[in-house]
Amino acid sequence: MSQADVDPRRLVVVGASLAGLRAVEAARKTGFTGEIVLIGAEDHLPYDRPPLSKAFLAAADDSGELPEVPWFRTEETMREELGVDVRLGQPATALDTEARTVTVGDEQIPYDLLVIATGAHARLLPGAEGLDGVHPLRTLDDSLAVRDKLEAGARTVVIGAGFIGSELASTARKRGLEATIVEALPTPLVRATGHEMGAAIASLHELNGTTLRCGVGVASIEGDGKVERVVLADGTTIEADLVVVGIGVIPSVGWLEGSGLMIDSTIGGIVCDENLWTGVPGVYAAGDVASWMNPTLGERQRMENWTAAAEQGAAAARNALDPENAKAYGTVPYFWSDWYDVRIQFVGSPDADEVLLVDGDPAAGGRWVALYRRGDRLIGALTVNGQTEIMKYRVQIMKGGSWDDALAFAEKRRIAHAEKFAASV
Amino acid sequence: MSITQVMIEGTGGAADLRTEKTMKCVTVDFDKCTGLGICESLAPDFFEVNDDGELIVLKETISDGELQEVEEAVAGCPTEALKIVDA
Ligand SMILES: Cc1cc2nc3c(=O)[nH]c(=O)nc-3n(C[C@H](O)[C@H](O)[C@H](O)COP(=O)(O)OP(=O)(O)OC[C@H]3O[C@@H](n4cnc5c(N)ncnc54)[C@H](O)[C@@H]3O)c2cc1C
Ligand code: SF4
Repeated sequence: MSQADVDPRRLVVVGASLAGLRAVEAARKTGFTGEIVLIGAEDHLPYDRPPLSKAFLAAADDSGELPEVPWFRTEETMREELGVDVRLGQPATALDTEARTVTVGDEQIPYDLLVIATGAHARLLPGAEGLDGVHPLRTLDDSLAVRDKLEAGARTVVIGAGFIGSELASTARKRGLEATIVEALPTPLVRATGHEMGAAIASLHELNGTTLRCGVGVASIEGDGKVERVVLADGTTIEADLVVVGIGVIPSVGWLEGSGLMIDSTIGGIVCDENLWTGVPGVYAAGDVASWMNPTLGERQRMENWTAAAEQGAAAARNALDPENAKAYGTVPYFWSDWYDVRIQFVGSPDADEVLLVDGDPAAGGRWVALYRRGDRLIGALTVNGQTEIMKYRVQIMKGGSWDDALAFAEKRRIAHAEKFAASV
Repeated sequence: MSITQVMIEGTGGAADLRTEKTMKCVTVDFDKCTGLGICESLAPDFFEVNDDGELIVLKETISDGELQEVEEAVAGCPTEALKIVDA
């Protein structure tokens, strides 16, 4: 390529994880030839997080090998193929939108275009610092530490019955270890799936031998140098060698203080418009750190899931490079979670007027499907072991499908499934 | 049929862009695919996950008008199991 063809603009991406990587890749894919700098606080190249509470924590296979680290790209691919100047191991500490610079250490890195993809970090339990065996589960280093304890046969206590804590408990059970989950709220997973379904999903724990204690807080985590027990607010003591704290995440926006970027005071994250633009020239945000107006659902949202981070990373970079042709990013949110041998999948929004179980029975285990109604529209769907159902509802929600059509469709599927099942026995 | 622009590296200049005609197909690496189904929601004419959570490819050959949706499915797959290749 000759000098004249090189785009004079410099794209800086802060946050070297899924959204940041997808921003870089999308920029190159659209043919951007300018300089790209990727800044990451962790020492590691981008890696995939969902396996960190699932497959990566599994026991060694028959040949004695533990699962490999889920790297996204090699260093060579990053530097040679993608032509990225990767700066790892130091966080960005400030943003000056007037001078158009990002501060890393003593250096001011200039940008023409900026994609902020700093994601989120684990919320910690105050008072548990410094005890060996107490871990959040957000990073590769967290997961490696947790895996060491599981390998040593740790009695495991999980604080917080969210998806990540539930996956961890399920992994510990698969390894034959004792696992207890403690949840302060009376019903888990309400924010993600609503009241009715939160309780139904949580029943999977008891079915699989994990103790779930809801509606009781943690009074203290005790031990001498290393954790020995968790004491609950009602006085119960649970012996533990490993305590995993899964009480949610906080969007990583601390470094933006004084930058003038707007932070969402209700759902957290950087306030963006439909195009993931922050309102400041050249500055876009993507992934767990972005609060944006989702035109597909007509709601302001901040996602904490893989699919949105990947898609937003790419969309933010494309819009940053070509703001005149910017495209709104709309999606029907999707997440999955694997517990025991069950796959839980959710599409849409849990913020509904009605939730209806349309197939199966949570109490009986197996497969079930629930639909979420807002007004006369289908707004969400939850399946447990319903892999063949879930995406059909995602398509309906995407197209703004009606509740009545969804119910009629569900009934057809239920009958077809029952017939198939009857034929197979 | 789809028209793709192929960039040849190293020789420099706009002459590097030449036009080539190829048929495109989608392939699945079943060792990677975990049946999450994102591809099905983005390109339902091409993919369906069955009751056992396994991915079924409904058709492989991609026409011009379908290329974008299949590209979105490829980008959307969390396990990077999908690829578009020249037939
Ligand atoms: C254990 C686990 C299991 C999960 N399982 C699922 C699942 O099953 N399904 C699903 O849909 N989603 C799942 N998720 C969520 C999914 O992984 C996240 O939504 C996704 O990683 C978000 O990507 P991101 O790039 O926006 O942010 P992150 O992955 O949080 O990355 C942000 C990066 O920015 C860096 N950073 C932060 N501040 C700075 C700074 N100031 N300067 C430089 N760098 C900075 C951080 O160190 C980090 O590396 C899981 C997450 C975890 C932790
Ligand atoms: S999105 Fe990827 S992992 Fe999921 S079913 Fe399709 S190919 Fe398989």
